[in-house]
Amino acid sequence: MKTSNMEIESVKKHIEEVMHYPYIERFLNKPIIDEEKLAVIMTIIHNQSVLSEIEKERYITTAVLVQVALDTHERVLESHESNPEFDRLPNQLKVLAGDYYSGLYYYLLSEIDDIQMIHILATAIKEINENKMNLYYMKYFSIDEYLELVKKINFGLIDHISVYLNDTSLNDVASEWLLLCQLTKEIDVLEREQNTQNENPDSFYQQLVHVWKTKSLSLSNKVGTIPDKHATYQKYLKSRISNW
Amino acid sequence: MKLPKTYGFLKKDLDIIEEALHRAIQADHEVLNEAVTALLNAGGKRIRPVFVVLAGQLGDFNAEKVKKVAVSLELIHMATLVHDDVIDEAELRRGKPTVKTKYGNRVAMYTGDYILARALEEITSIEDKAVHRILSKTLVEVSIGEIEQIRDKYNWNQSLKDYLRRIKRKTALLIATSCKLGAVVSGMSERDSNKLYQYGYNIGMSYQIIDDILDFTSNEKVLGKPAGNDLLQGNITLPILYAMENADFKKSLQDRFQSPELITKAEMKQFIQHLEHTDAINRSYQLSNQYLAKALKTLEGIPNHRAKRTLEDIAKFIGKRRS
Repeated sequence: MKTSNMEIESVKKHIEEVMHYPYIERFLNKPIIDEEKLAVIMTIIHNQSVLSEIEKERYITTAVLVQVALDTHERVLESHESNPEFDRLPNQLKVLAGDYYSGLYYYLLSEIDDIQMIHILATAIKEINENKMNLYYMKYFSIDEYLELVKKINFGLIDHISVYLNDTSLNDVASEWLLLCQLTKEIDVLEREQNTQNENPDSFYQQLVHVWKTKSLSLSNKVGTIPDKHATYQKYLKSRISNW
Repeated sequence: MKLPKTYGFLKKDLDIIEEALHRAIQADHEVLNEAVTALLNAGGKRIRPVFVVLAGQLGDFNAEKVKKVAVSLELIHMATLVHDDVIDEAELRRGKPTVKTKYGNRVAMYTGDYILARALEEITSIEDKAVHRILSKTLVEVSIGEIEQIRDKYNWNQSLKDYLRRIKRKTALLIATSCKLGAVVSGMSERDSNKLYQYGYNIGMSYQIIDDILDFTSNEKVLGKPAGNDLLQGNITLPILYAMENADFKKSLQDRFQSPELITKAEMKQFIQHLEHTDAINRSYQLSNQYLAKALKTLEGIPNHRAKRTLEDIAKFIGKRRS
């Protein structure tokens, strides 16, 4: 299993080369690869002795491409949110870049004739977008319902891949860790907005902070349950948590 | 005569595909369901399914596979349209509010991604490696075409080659792929599948050139958008490329399009009138006809069949299209 920081950096570099499209990067910068998700994907895939090296490389690359495509589309602004003079082109390119990365994942897997994996990733994308719709239209929700949806959106892709590869042993810990990472970003956004509502103990912000504290404590205990075959990931996660 | 009459005998097959399309996009989420159903109900020519079925009929027709290919290609086309409307900030499509107008960009992005995912779920039930190699390559090329269309906006120095490569990716490739995949899943030989690909490519090129001509020669009522809208959006199409061979016209365009948002309807009318007094429209039709002639030529050698005659009729119809 390879999830050292150096390995992650090298895989990231390779994927960035695959995605490289100068005109897009002129306006959108390099696509953002979520390293925490990449570490989980690499761990699961590198542990598959039945996969050839080329399959491992393609599975990792295409899983990341799908995630980047979804994330890029998530950054498309509503028309009224964008300043027509400056923001129209980047917004248009976010749409097109996401579509381009989606085309690439299909292309790379069809090159190795892996029709099943194409199907698995397509199903994941379908379900993630259905859940995004659920979240978008969620009006009255409990914090638990909210967390459940965020988890499904955040971990949906890895969940499908791990079930397909018959190794879900990391899912419990990894999904919690990725949820915590996501919550951290959302708490940061709310703090930056300096909403006075944040002071209210029943506010969404306070609930998120409470959940974050509870989950980060329980995660520290869960890390020990990671099976030996994923010992390097366990070490990696321990170091990430201790550096937090 | 209208185009659908040319392939009236396909009605039963197309009805089956239409039903499959509706089934394919059933979503659990109410709004998602509403958005995709409205898109389907808005109609459209279903030209890609028509080409898949016709090509399929020229081989050993496999109804199930042909249906899956046709449904997937139409879904891919639909997904592209939903995202295109976000890019173009289009309010209406086929006279109806676009997904982005009705629900916003965010929902339009989710809807397009959902439809594309459904298309790939559908097509991956066909375990034919060739199908996926062809289609995936096309998808990447189509995306590149869209990116280049944005890149080339207001580029007054682009060449005819740039334009042709762009419309190849924008329109011709998906039609060519429709023809080829219909042939492949019906067991046609590689030689004949490639001929059908070439037919589709040439038809697609001609179709897009005529669309680009009509943008200037038709009217708002027929087009559903103001005449000259492509130019207003910065898309340099074939008639403009030809007309810009006149240096004065090119300069006046360049000068006036420094601030495209300030161009009035009257000014656009003047540009169009000027264009109509040049040979640009005629030359554009000539190039379109050359592609149609090539399309017809590629069908030579394909065994005589009603489907082949229909492909010929479609080519002839496209050549006469004036609206």
